[in-house]
Amino acid sequence: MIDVNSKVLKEILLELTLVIGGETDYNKILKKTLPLYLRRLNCTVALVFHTDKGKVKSEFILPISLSKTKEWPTFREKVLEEIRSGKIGSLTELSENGLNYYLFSLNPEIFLILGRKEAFGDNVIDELIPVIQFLGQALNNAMEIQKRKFAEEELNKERLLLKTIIDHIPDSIYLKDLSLKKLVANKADLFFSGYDSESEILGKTDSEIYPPELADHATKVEKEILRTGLPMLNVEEFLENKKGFKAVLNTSKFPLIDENQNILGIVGIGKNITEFKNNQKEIKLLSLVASQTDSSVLITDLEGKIEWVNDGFIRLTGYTADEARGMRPWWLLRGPLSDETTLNEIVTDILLQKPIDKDIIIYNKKKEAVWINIQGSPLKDDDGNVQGFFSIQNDISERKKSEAQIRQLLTWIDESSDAMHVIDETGNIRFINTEAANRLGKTKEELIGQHIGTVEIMFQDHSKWEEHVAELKEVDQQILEGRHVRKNGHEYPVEVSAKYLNIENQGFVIAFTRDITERKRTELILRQSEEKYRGIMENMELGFLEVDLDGKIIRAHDQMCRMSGYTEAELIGKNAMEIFTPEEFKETLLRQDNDRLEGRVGNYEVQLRKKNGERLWVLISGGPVFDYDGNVVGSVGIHYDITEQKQFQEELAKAKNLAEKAQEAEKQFLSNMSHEIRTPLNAIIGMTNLLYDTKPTNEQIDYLDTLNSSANFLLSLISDILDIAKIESGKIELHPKPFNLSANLNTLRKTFKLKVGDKPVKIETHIDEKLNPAVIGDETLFNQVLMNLLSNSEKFTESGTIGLQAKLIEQDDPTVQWIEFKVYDTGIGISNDNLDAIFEKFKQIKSDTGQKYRGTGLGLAITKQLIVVMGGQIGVESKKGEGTTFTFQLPFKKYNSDLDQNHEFAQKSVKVIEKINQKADVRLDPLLVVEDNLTNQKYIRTVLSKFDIDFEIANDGKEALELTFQKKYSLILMDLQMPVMDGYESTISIRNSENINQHTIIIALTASALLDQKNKALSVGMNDFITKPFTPSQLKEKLEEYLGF
Amino acid sequence: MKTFFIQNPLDVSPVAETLGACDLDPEIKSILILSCDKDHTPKTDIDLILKRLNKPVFGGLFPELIYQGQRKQSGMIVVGLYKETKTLLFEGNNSEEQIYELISEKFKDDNPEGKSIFLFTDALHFNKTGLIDSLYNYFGMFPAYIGGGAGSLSFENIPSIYSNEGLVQSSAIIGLYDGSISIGVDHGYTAISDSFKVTESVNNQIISLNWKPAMEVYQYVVEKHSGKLFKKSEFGDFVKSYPFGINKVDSQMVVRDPFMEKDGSIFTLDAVEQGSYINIVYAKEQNLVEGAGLAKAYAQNNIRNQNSGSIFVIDCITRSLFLDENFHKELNALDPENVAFGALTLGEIANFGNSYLEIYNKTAVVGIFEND
Repeated sequence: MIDVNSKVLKEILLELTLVIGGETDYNKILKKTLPLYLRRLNCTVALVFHTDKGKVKSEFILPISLSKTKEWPTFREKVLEEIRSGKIGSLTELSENGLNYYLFSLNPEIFLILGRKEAFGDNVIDELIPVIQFLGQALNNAMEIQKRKFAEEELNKERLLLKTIIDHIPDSIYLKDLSLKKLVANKADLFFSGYDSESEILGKTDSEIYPPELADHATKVEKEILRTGLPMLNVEEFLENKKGFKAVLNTSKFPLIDENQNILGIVGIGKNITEFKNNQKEIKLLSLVASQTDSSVLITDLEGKIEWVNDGFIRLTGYTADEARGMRPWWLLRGPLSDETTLNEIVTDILLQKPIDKDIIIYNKKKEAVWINIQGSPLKDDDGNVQGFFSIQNDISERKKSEAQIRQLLTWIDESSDAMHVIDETGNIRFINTEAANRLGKTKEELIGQHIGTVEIMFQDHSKWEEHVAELKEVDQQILEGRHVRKNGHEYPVEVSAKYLNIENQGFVIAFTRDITERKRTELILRQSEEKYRGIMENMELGFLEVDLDGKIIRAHDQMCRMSGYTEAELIGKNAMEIFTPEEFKETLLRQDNDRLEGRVGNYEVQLRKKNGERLWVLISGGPVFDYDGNVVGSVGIHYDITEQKQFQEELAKAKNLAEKAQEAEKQFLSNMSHEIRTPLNAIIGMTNLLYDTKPTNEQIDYLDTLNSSANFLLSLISDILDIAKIESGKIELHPKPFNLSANLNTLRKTFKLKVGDKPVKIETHIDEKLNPAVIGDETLFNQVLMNLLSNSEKFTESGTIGLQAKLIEQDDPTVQWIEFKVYDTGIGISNDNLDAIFEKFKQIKSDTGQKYRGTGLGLAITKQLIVVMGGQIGVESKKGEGTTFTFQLPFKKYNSDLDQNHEFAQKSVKVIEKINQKADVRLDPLLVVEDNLTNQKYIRTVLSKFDIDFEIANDGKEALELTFQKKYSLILMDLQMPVMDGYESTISIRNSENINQHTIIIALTASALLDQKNKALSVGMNDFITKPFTPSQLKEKLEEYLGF
Repeated sequence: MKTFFIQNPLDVSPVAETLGACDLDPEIKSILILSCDKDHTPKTDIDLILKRLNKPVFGGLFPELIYQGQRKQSGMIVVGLYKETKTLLFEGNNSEEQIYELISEKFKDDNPEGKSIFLFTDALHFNKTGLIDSLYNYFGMFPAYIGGGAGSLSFENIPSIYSNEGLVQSSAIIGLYDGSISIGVDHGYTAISDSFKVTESVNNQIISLNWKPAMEVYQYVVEKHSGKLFKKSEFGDFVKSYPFGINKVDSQMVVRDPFMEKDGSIFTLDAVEQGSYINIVYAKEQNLVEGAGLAKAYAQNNIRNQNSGSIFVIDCITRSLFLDENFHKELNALDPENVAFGALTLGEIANFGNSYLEIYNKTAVVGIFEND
């Protein structure tokens, strides 16, 4: 209940009052205040109805959702009924749907309704009423202000609209009273009058505004209108104001008459027609001039549309004046070859009102392209205002044609990549192109007029030139080699193609030159390299053979002859394939020949038949031979005798095959042994667990404990032996994935807390806070290491502490964290003499009392090996009687979520969800147990029945496959090694065939601890595995994980 | 409803499996996700999954979780709700007006009677006050409200809200759930001072109380009550035991958690309005545990229907830090049967009894689903 005296209430009421502030907007007041009634006074509802004669004009509802409730229509009607009854005083109370409602009348039209679960106390109401009255006053004021503002705004709007309209009319509009004084003048009238503001002309007569003669004329006319009541329409009047502005106006004046037909004044409208008048005159003159010329002439208006054309235009374009009028010239005349850039320049110049002078292609009516020159300029009136555009077009097609031809020729010569020069008969250079000048390192100007002997060494003796010209006159054309001299004095070889020409009785030599430095150099290198490589190949005992396109031998080096037993003479001209290649290699050789023809090189091994019939293995490196034009003209082959290597390879392959078979046999043996021993053990451990539930006697429990512990020991012995075998064969593989290191260590702590049981041993963990707990690593191997070490501690510690510490080691790589782990205990400890031996296989340290601790002696050896596999190292410190500390360091990649977004996980999630999307709800169907061993069947049957899980049994993989086609299972437990069809094959068939269990979860029951068997199970499509023997709780945990029960 | 607990959400497979199964399950109509900030599924992975879900999904990432009577510092809770939830995500820095417009557009055809609203907001990087005022102005007291502040205790701005758009940052999500939840709220604190008027405050910064520097007033009261002299350097230790309580009409105090002192001002986790009246409050461990028990009892008493079901707990992370090893007592008071799920949050949101929708600090909120 609200305490009326509380400071909090007073503060709230004050806030409810003050929140209105200076606000004068009705809606804003309600938006500010009503939420506060909810928030501060714990009201459930705050409503305001604004009514007019009982009808609701507006309503404000808080919370809005109230209007969505079922009760709202009834409740609203009830409230309105109350309002309409007129009985509401300043406050009426109502009770509805378990709520207390308070209806406050703020004025005869506005009502506030507050709803509350708990009733307000009377005292609170007394305090509240003034606050609400204040709200009412504020709303009243707001409504009044709103009404006034609305009316004023409407009036102003109308005025503004009218004023805006007449101000934007270009004609002068004015209103005069009966004494001919101006009452209204728009902006155009103000401009014509020559004054700057309305106040200067309003209230004045024309005689006070205009010169006397104008004013008198106007006054006379207006008095006549007032007298007769008749308007004066479309009269031309001349205007001149005090600023000297002159204009011709088309004026209309008419009387303003009220509803009683009384004349109130005169309304005048004047339109400026000065421009129109001037244009009419000019156009007359212009058309007279333009029509006289032979050139095409056209005039466009301001919008660029043709207004007028002369006969020349009609002749040039073929369009009639009527066809052209109203068109834009470029709509009419442009075509595909009209240069867009020039066109844009013309249009831009027109827009900028600049004169134009351009050449451009247009298209006549027949769509024939015509080169024209267009010259034009804007047409301006007296005030400099542009009225249109005037242009003259002349046909320049012929000129353009010859210009283009010449330009084409010169461009072709000058841009030619061949060097060219023209020399007259006296030897003077008359023309030289850019390429020729560039090659000589001189400018054209430096060369033109110079004797050819300054360029060509051969003609330094001028008489040689004369001989050359004489020869050319005879043979017409000649190709010769010479040497040119560059500006820097450097000489280079050239090939010159020269031709004699007689032009208008004058003799010229046109010479095309080609720089052949590279060709000369290549020829030299080729000669030298052939000699060099011939020597190298001989030294390296590589046999060289060259054949033409028909396979005929062209060349055979000495080593090739030695290898084959033939002389070069015996080989030349013979077909290489026929002489050397045994039948079975001919196909290979033909394939290689085809590659050569297509220009490809290749290496291949074939046998070669020697002259004496013996065979030798050769490695041939073959390549195509090209001529100068890049055509393949033959091929070369370099032959290397690899007979010895081939023999060695064959022996090696045989040896490898043998070794692999042996390794496979060993692996199979391990796997089988594992399966054969674990299967009966599965039964022993399983049945032992079940026997505990058969209410055995204390003595029997004792026997069962011994049986259980012995079987478990045997199982760990087998696992350890298999693990060590696996590690030593180097087959252990890391399977890193992200996991939470801290959570993992805490779980281990809890597990060992249970394991130490009643022993007075405290288990503690210390995890470095700086550690990033999200890491990527092989969680299974890591757990095995810690389990081994903690089990070791647990075994040797009777009292005190066993601890596990994880500490971050400082490091540089930001993506990897090296962590140091310590597993320590206060157990029996190890003497220094024995410390070195503890990581050795099958070593067990005896206690002082001679007590032998149970174990295989393999645990620590495995631990050390696993740490090494994970990239770490381990050490131990111990003091006899005080305890032991194992310290090891391991690197873990940081799993830094977004940074470490490896695609693999994202892909995986998509795959998983897709897989899920395909499968039906798995929880309603029975399990399928696929197991051949009857004892194991019995065990699983008992366990599942105990869990009350529905299931079916299949005796082998084939039977399981058949069942999966008939019925939906929620999950399949699949043994791996079975007769008829094993678990792998069965899984592959289920996954790869269309059946209702194609995506059902399959869990492998594997008796083998070998990791690659587990991996194989996952790789064929199984989802997970349980290693046999398993306890009922292990099975339950796995089923819970997948079935979620 | 069905609840799932995923031990290692860093591994995306179980997360995808569980959410995928919920999406397919015809009984499940909407999905609530609660997870820990320390080892949540990487954003790119969870975004891919969330965007492919067909059913409405909502939730948050919190400092810790509660699951079956246990406090969980890692993992993910997925709740498959058997009733429809209509969700609305607010991304970025929305004004109160914008939030209100979004709510009125989304829920214009919804009758909130007999329904409940889940709301999870980024604890520090979202306009929480604007959201709860808009929500209350729109829905009023018709639905029950339950939710809390999401994010990390390190107060870093991390993506913390689960939605069908993915795991998003600086945002909030509300879900109008088509079922009743009975709410109980309590904190166990009692006033040890007279009421002080907040004479100057800006959002969560209390500048003066009764026109004196806030720190001066606070120090005086705390020293007097504790009998110890108070050094400013020890502020962090004292505030654990002495938060503020805002006075409300007809309703219990709303606790505000101070966390920083600067130049005589005191900063609290959530806003304290200028003009309000506050007390300095105190609770012993036993009081807190009793408060938690009361929250549970209130929720039970408010049940309108016999078919009460799952229990959803929103408790303040600072209560767990304060109670430390004894927090299990509070958990036991909140959930003696070890069946509840929930989160330890950075600010709790609920409306209790007849009072306005509030953002609480250091408070336990219990929601009991009816006919779930």
